[in-house]
Amino acid sequence: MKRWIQISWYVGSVLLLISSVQAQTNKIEESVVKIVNQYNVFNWYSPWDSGSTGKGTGSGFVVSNKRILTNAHVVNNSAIILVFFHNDPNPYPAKIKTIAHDCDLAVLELLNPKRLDHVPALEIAGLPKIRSQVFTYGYPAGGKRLSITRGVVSRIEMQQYVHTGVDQHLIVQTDAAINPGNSGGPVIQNGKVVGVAFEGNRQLENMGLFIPTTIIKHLFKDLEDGEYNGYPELGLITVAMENPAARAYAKMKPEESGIRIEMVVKKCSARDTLQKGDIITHINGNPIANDGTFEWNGLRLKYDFIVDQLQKGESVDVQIIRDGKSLTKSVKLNHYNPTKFQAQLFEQRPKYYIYAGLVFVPLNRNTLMTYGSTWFKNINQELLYEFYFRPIEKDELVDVPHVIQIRRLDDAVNAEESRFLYQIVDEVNGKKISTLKDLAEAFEQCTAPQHIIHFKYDNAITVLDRKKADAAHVKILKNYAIPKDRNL
Amino acid sequence: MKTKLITLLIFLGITLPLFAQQNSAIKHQLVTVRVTYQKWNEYRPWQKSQPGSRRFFGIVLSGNRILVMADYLANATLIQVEKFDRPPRHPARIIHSDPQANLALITVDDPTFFEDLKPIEIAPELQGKTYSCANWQNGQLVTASCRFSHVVSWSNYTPYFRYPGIYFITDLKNGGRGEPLLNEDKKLVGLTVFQSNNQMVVLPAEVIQTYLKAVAMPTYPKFAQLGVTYQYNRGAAQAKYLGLKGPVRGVRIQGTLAAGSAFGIIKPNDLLLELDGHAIDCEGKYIHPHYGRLNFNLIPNDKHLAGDVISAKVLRDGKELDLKIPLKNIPPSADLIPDTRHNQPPPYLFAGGLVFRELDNPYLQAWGNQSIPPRLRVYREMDAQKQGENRRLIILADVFPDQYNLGYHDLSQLIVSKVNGKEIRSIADMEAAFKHPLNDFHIIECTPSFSFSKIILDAKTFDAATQRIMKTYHIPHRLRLRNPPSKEQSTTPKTKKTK
Repeated sequence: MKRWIQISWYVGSVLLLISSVQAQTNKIEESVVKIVNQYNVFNWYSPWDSGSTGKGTGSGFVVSNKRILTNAHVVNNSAIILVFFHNDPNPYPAKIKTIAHDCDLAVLELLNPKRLDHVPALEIAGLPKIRSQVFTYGYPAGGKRLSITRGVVSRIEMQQYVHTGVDQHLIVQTDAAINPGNSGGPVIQNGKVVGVAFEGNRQLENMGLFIPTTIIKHLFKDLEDGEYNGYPELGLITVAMENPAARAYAKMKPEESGIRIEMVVKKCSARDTLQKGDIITHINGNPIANDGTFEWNGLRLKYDFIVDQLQKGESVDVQIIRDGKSLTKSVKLNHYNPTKFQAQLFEQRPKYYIYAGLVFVPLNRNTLMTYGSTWFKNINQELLYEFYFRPIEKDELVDVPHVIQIRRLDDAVNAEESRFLYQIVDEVNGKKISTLKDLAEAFEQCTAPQHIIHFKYDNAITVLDRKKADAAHVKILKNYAIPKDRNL
Repeated sequence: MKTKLITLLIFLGITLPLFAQQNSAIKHQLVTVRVTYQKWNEYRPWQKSQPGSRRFFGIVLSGNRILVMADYLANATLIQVEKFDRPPRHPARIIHSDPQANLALITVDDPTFFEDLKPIEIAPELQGKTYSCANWQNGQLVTASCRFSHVVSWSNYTPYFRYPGIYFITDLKNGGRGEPLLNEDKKLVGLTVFQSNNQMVVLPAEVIQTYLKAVAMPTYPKFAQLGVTYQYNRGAAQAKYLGLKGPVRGVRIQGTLAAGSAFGIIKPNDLLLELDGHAIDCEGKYIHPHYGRLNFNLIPNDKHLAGDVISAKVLRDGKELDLKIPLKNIPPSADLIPDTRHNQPPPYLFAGGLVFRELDNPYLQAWGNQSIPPRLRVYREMDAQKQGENRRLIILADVFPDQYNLGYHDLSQLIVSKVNGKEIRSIADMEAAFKHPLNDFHIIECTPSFSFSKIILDAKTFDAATQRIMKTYHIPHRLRLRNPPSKEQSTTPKTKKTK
């Protein structure tokens, strides 16, 4: 009899475990959603156009406070967002509460949050261990139903996030299949979220990337005051100090290690405290190795991760060697990111100004991309220089905006005059031009018989007869069906 | 039927000997040139890359000279010439070469070589009604008729030289390798320099005549270039702004190259109205007496050479000015990033395992046009023609890993600005600067980038490390400096004239 009781107890326990796992799986499935984004993307080449529409799908999952977490790239440029739940054919309209392009995450809310009353919020866990098993949940291409794939964590390191093309944060690599449509879906371990699937690499086999929970938690903490500030930046360009002569030159002791500062970017957190040539040996007490890494939970990560874990307004203690002396500097973190202007822009209605058929736009990644897929190689190289290289060579220019002429809408008043497209405007009627507002003022305040547009390179000019140009301006807008001559 | 057959036979009887006669004349004027060449290895500048070979054509001139395209002689290690496209091959040597004009003269030192050859007669210009060209293919002389199409302003791969490139439609296959273009009088009216499908481009006789005239001078004067950049002046508003009255004409000068003829004489914002007596229209064209509307940049080469003086008329600040422009040649070596080295090897320095070299276009081309590192591509587009005092950009091209240069193994494509506090404008500057370390360190400063702006090496062990790394990687030479500009070549063949 005792034996029967024992067997029954074992069987009962196993059944309980199976039902618990089943329940856990069901809970996850209920919480994973398909997101359909009806987007409207503006055309930076015809910046007055209403934009082109289309549909994209991705995944997401329910988290605390009736929020849905997904990738920023799933919902960017959205006109309407529809959320679909597992085994529920009804669409539920949603809106973006926060979109954090710098870490490719977005928080959505349903217009009618009652649908979430009985949907369990997934719990956010910590960083998974290397070699540990994870499951990705989502709605990838190739079918309509929820898809679950399995893999192991193969790598954890800092890498560039493709979405903006300029931000770098922690990523986790796995061999679980992450395909288009998986983006925004949860990566699960032991029933808890350990990441958000977001990128694959078609050039590599069985390689998917997910955003770890350190980034998710950073986002939620940032949002505690109701506003998203983004990641703080020290604003440093640093190099490794692996060469013994370089360390001796910096008067480092044999037991010391660190990295050398090559540039402290204008307006960034460290601008007033650290200097070019300083050797950073510790950040918040963490010893920095000569290759710029530090140890964190058994991993070696780039030192930027220390700052990545902090929020705007917090401080870091940076121990440096300057002129052979060891010093500690406290750096208060701001969220100014000088590379932001180099990032791709989303949701923004393009800025432009048209005068007498000449179309001017700001110099940014989106306007450069209008040149075509080979823009980086084939566009006027002066633009690349001003956009990418000159701010590094002369850091006071790091965030100085530029205006370029992108098009000319031909009319008798301009067609025979010299045309210089994808060129930076330097002066108009003697006034230095940095923004579209400068440009509009320069044209509109001119009383001279001609408008003189001076371009920055090659001493190129375009001249327009002012009275004729003024007279033709409205007619040109009408001929080319342009509703407004500006969005400054 | 009989009558027709007889007529045909009579026709063939008359015409076939004519063709044979034509062929026999050009057979003795056209030789095959075979060149083995070997370019320098731009990544490993102490060694050469794999050799290759080229086959093209030479035209026999008086004085035992053979006229060829200079491009085909580049990096030649062996030049051989064949008569009638068959052995024996005779070794040949260069008498004179002008890579800018893409014209060269070679000769064969064995005087008997020319005994059964006949110099071609050169027409003063493109004159004729019917044209033909010829080349050798598999030992057979192939002739084809050519039909005049149009003329463009043509430039060679080597910068700063333009001439009227005359397009002909032809049935000749695989041409554009220095074939002669002949008129009905069998005079040379041009040299083919390019062919695509059935269109070939011909360098006209006037340029050849001017080149030969220049070669005959005691010192070869070279062709001249104006060295200006300009924009159209089609618009009435721009013309008015520049002070022009009446119909639009002339071009607005945007800038002048420091080594060019116009530098300091024609000024930025001038409206160039006339050059050498030719009116310049609002798109920068003038009317050539034979070829029609061509770009004004051809004028300095139109029967002119460096040293000549031509006139110009500009509108400056609303006033017309008559100017005199002494013509000058712009050597590619005047550029910050030279387009070519003209058979010269790349200057480099191997220092502590770091390979420094002067940046030039052959190095950039070695990357392949689509793979040039972005910053170097920007330099090429923006700064290539900056000129002054033979200055060059020095780049850290590569690092040969060693314990000595630990930490720098992955560096490349950095632009060096200073070494040990000395400004660097050449490999020679760099070699000199490394002789003066700063407190037992060599400090190499680079243009700011996302990488190292300062590379620090141990000066005490520098020489020993350099030698050790050279030994490890079997690098034969540590240093190569840029050769000073070569003196003018002799233009006289060493052998006695036989005709």
